[in-house]
Amino acid sequence: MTPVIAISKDTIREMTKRKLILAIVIAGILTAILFLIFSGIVGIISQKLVHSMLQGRSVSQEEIKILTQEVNQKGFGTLVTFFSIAIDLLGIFLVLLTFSTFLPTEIDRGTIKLIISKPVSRLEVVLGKFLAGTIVLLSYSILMGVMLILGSIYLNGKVDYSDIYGCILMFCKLLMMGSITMAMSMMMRPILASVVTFFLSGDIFVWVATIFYSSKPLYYIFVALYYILPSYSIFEVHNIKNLFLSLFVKIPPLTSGDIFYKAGYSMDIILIMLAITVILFNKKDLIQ
Amino acid sequence: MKLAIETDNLTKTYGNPKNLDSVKAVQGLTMEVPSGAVFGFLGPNGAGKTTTIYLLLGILKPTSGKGKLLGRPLGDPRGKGKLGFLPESVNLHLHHTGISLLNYYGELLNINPVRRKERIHEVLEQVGLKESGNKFITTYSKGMVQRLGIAQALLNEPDLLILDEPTANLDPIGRKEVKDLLINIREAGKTIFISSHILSDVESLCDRVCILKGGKIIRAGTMEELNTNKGVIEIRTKNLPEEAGQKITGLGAEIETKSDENLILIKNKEQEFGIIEIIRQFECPLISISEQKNTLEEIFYTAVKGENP
Repeated sequence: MTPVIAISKDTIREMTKRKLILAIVIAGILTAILFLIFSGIVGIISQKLVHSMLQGRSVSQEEIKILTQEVNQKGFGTLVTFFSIAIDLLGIFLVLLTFSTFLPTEIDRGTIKLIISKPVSRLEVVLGKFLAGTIVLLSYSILMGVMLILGSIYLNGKVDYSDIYGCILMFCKLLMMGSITMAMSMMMRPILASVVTFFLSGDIFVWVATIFYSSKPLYYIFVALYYILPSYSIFEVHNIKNLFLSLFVKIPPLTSGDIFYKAGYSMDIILIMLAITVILFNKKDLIQ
Repeated sequence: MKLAIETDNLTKTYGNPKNLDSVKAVQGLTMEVPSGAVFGFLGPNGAGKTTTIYLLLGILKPTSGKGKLLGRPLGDPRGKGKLGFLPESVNLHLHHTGISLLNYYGELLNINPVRRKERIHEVLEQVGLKESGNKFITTYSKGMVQRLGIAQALLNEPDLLILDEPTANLDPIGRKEVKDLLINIREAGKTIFISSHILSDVESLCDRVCILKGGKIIRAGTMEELNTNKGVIEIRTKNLPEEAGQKITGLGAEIETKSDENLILIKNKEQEFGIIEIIRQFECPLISISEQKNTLEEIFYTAVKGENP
């Protein structure tokens, strides 16, 4: 276990020195802070509008909903949505940038030679790198989760469990993408691995299948691809963007059952992808 | 005889072996390196030396054949606990200082923290980097990076040291220091497997040599076995009179004179006693009689080129 932890620690240390990664993390934090600020602005404006519209009458949920829609129409909703998408996208960039380069970088610059000359197995190298990525993603998800919870408390006055569930799902999705890009990086250049991972989702094939609905063999092939390939869309239903909107409009709350099902699905994909990575890395000549 | 390294028909082909453009880097390599030996691994560029080292360490996967490193199959991490390795080009993680990098490798070697700290200071002192340990590697010169590479190879007090061009990038003083360090390690009974282009270093350090060409072993043996006689006998004497010189050259020998010392080179061994008799007749002192040996450079050139330099 020691080599796994040592590799993991070293990888995190190296990540903190990479300017592009630091830029993404800083952008994530700034986005989250802006997220909170805009949450506050939305809250204040909503309250003022409620007072001016209802003129001292007691406020019902329906009236808040109407008011929120008005606020959205005035442009704040667009900004809020933009920020929430930005957090999600930054997470994806972070994953693709890190997981796709973990192993190829060690090989390309030749540093893997000294690691492998120590009593370290190739499995431990893969696990060490993956653990590092997991810790970074977990930190990112927790940070964003805290920001969401603070925003939720500020606007609703209570913790919405959907916020916590949403962050768990974001973490699961990002980790799943990380494991896919790590496996892909064993077969192609990191940049290509990132692009393939981004577009690999089986979700695309649902749309393609509908186009070929009349041509049954193709339709079934695309439907099969939807089920075979990993799906990112199941994590999108209650992602950060929707969670934020849930502060204004009523969305059916996530249940712990949803989380278990979706987390289980991602763990499935992660284990398969890790196994593929280990098999490919084991067969690989570790020179440029 | 306990073996530190053994290979059996080890082969590495880059690319698909069925394709014409595939490259056979190592072909059926069978060798044994006894424990405690200092083994010189020589060959021209592209001979397959580095590929062989990578195969031994499990960095490359063999196309066929097998081998053992410290009693464990090639690539088995358990065989590397008492192994030190210095690659030809030392590529280090540049986000570290000298000390933090050695600490990282110490963790990978599973050295306990207290001992690790001691060893880091010991090896930094051994390679002359004690003052630079806290500096970032990005500020190191090529020579300092090479020294740090040597330090990491010595960190676990290895039983087997595999060195690929250990004195590359070092100035003459650095080369001498590394050579002295290797002599100390040799005297401690450790096994050293050294690949180098600097034949004089190998000659002075190694007791066994293997010469590789085109991925195959073309000469191998102990230095004594390889240091074949040239078939020339050297007799050293002093103040040889002209008359004696004429008699000696008349027998077919050559004389080289430097100040008052004379070096007589005899190619025909049967003339040795006759020439000694002439020297005695003229009452000249007999300083030494020896047989000329081939230098490692000559052995290398003969083996690789099939001719003398």
